[in-house]
Amino acid sequence: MTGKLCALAAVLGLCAAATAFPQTAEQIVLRTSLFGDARNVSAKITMELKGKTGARERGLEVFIARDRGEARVLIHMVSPAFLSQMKFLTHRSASGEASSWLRTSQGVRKLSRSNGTERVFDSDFTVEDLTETDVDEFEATLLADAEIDSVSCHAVELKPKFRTQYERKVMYVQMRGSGLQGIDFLDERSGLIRQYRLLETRLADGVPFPSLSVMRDLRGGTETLLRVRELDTTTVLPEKTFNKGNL
Amino acid sequence: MKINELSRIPALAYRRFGRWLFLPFILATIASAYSLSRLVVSGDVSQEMPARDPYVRDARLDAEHFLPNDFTIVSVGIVDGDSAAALSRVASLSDELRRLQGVGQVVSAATVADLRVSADEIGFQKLFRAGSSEQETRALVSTLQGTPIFQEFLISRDASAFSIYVFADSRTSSKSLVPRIESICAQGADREVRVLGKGSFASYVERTLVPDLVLLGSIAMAIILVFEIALTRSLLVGAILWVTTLLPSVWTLGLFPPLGLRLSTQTICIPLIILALSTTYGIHLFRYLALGRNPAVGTALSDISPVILAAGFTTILGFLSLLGSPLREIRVMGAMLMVGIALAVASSLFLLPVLFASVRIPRLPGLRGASSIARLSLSRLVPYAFAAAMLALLVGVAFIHNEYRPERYLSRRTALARTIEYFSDRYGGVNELELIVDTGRENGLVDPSVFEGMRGLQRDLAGFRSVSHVVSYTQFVEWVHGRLAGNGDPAAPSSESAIGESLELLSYGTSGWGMGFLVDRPYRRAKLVVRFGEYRSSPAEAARALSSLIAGIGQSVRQRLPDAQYAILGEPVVSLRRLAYMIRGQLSGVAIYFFLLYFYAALYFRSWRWPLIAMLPSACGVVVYLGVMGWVQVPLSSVTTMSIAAVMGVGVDDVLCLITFYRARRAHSATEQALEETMQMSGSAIIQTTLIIVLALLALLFSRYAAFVQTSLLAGFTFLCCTAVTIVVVPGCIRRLRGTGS
Repeated sequence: MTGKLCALAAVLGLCAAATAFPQTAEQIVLRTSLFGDARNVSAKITMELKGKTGARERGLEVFIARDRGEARVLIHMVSPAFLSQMKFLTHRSASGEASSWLRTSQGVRKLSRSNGTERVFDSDFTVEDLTETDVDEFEATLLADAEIDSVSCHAVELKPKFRTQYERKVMYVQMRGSGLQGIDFLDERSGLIRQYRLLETRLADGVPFPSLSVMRDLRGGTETLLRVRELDTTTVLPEKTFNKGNL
Repeated sequence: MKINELSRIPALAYRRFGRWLFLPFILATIASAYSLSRLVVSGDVSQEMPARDPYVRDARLDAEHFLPNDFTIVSVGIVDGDSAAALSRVASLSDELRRLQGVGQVVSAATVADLRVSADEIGFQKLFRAGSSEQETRALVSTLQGTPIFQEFLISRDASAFSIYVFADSRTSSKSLVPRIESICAQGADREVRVLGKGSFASYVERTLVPDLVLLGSIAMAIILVFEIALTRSLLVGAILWVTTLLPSVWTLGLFPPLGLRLSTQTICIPLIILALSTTYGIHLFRYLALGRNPAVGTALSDISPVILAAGFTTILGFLSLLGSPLREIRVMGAMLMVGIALAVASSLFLLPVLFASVRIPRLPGLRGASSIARLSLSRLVPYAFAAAMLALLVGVAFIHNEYRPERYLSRRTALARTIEYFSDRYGGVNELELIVDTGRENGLVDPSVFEGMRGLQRDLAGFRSVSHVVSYTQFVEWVHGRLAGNGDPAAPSSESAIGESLELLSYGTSGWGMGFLVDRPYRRAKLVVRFGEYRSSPAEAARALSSLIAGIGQSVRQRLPDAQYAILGEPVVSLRRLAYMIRGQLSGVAIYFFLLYFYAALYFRSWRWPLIAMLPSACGVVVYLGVMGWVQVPLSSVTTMSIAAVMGVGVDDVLCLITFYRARRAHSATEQALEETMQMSGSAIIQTTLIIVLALLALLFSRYAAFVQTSLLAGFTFLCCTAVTIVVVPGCIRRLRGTGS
């Protein structure tokens, strides 16, 4: 009994010690993304695009598969009906290289010179936002902890090694649960260009996932609300889902 | 209190308070000097319209559904056919402009992407790459010239310059960007780089308004000082007159900051008009004293106050006519001019006597040519000549035209006018209309029948003689669809999917083309931008071309898209509608003015016939002003329209003075003798006050704004005509009214 108690105390002590150890910036960011750290994500999403010139809604089906640094994303626009033939597929390798394909009523074509920083359709989200952050592509620095919308967060500054629209981004990762609470995209003058914020969370299979989030483009005065209507993180997505031949 | 009893107040105040009357004016001047330091200059040309106008609702819809079509164009000239050097300059400038704070987007040959589509690849690729070989640059120029969408936007119409479009971000106005863009473009000392945007006019006005006010004010003040010294033949007395003339303008301008008014192209004329008009009241007092019949200032004040008060009151009545305008800024201007004239009268009746009492007033003879003028007024030709002139001028009124082009308010010698001319020649005009078509349903724009209707509409509009450029979402969709279909040339899509996908692709990622100013987000409404060039046309031709264009647009929409609603917006439409409001306000103002003037003059003269004679110069002034406008093709603008009020108000001043003196003399003398004495007594003051107003107005000839130059000449000429009517035609009327006997 004493031995069991000692073992338990040791385990608890180790856990406490582990949590007390300061995590590195890379560790915090690793596997953090909009849809949590699930390997397979199937989601039905309503994307509400808002701006000064009104709003429009797009119904999307999003499929994401991640494995050892690789990520594959398939976005199918299901509504309005006249856009239902549009699909967007991205493969990102572990080394950060990305290949994207676009399906339209005129056929399937590979998107040339894609690096994942293009916006998804007319939204304020990029492919990079939808997939996990590959820490090797950034210089990561841990900043002082921050409170975002009353949630205590680790703040990690990431400077991209590739050419992109922003100079650096600061990711706010929840201290409890490692969910992504927000991202600030900054320009060379530290001016805020875009901002991601988690607005609502729901539980799917006992795991919290962001049911409502927003990406704001502060320069363009637009915002995109991402409302996750259905989320499945348990079903393993077959390889053929991400095959360009099946687009 | 009877009207004539009011005129005793200055003399009573002078006797009661003496030199202490000086004090409130000193305090007012100190307060104004402090207030002037907070004067705000605004370059914005008012686009305000009455809230009930349908345009206001349409403009609100436009702002709610489309991104502002508010950009600045930088034109980079191709020198000696060296396109590569020009492109390189475009690239470096685009890069610099993109980094400029407040810039949201830069669109140029160096920033936009072409949609490259092959059998298995698709992508937007930048047209320009730094360090391109000469061959690559030539290929790029060939692509630019061979692709309609690029040719339309990125190269000038005569292919002599490349264009860079600079859009301000949502937090910045293009007006504040223009000077910074100009500064960047000037750094290369490249004379072939020109900058013009919607904010250019406002930016130019803000930079030049205060220097203009200082310059014009200084010239007017110098003219008035020289004239008043020459008139009084005394440096001191001339200077006193000058100070009391100048101060009302300072006091009025000092009221701007506490009342929240800004100095703008419209309000700048308030102090200048007050400066010119306030010269007259002091001269009446001076002439009365200088004639030597009543050397005591208090006595002179008792005699001359009714004339000065009546003259001031009728001028105020003239500006009162502006208060009926449906446009707020015209009402504000009318109110400020009334306040300014009231202050000018107060200065002449309360401050000037105190100053005159402390100096010796030189004695001057009466009008030397009084008998010649009296003989001239007896001539039988005068009524016929007068009637013929009035008739001819009335015919001229029919030829008056509106001026909707704000760039024509500028004098042609200004740098901005030259830039506008440059853009007008190379880009086929600088005026734009915006046609908003509402299909009435979400995703209506992707309906193939609507798309076809919009294409037809675009073709119809491009077919108008004055139209140089029509921008529509259909051109972009055709370009993308042509590329997707594997054909380099634009192709019209025939299905909803093809149209919708093309629109989605245009909003996608790196296309570099923002569709927000042509299509609203729910794909329900589209905007067509129609650029047309009438820079070199006369106002009449330009107005006719615009009217026919507006009518043609309406007809074409009704024919091509019968179920759609539409609205035509743009600065030319605003200018035309505002002018219509101004004219309507002025017409009712003129009617109200003459109605009030008649009753005021009836009370003043206690007669129903004298007011008819008193109204003659003002009525003639209005006819002369409008008739000359028509004959010499001076267009109606906010400034020229507003000056009618000044003409009416000032035109009656002299005749009131003349009739007042005549009636005083007529009690003791025969008509002829009374008229000659009146002419000797008041003729000098009448002629001198008119001359000084006309000379002061000539200061406006040095303005950068053509409307001010035109107004100064028109109003000056009209004042001279009013005076001629007063001293030549009015005596003839008096003779006919009274007979020539004793």
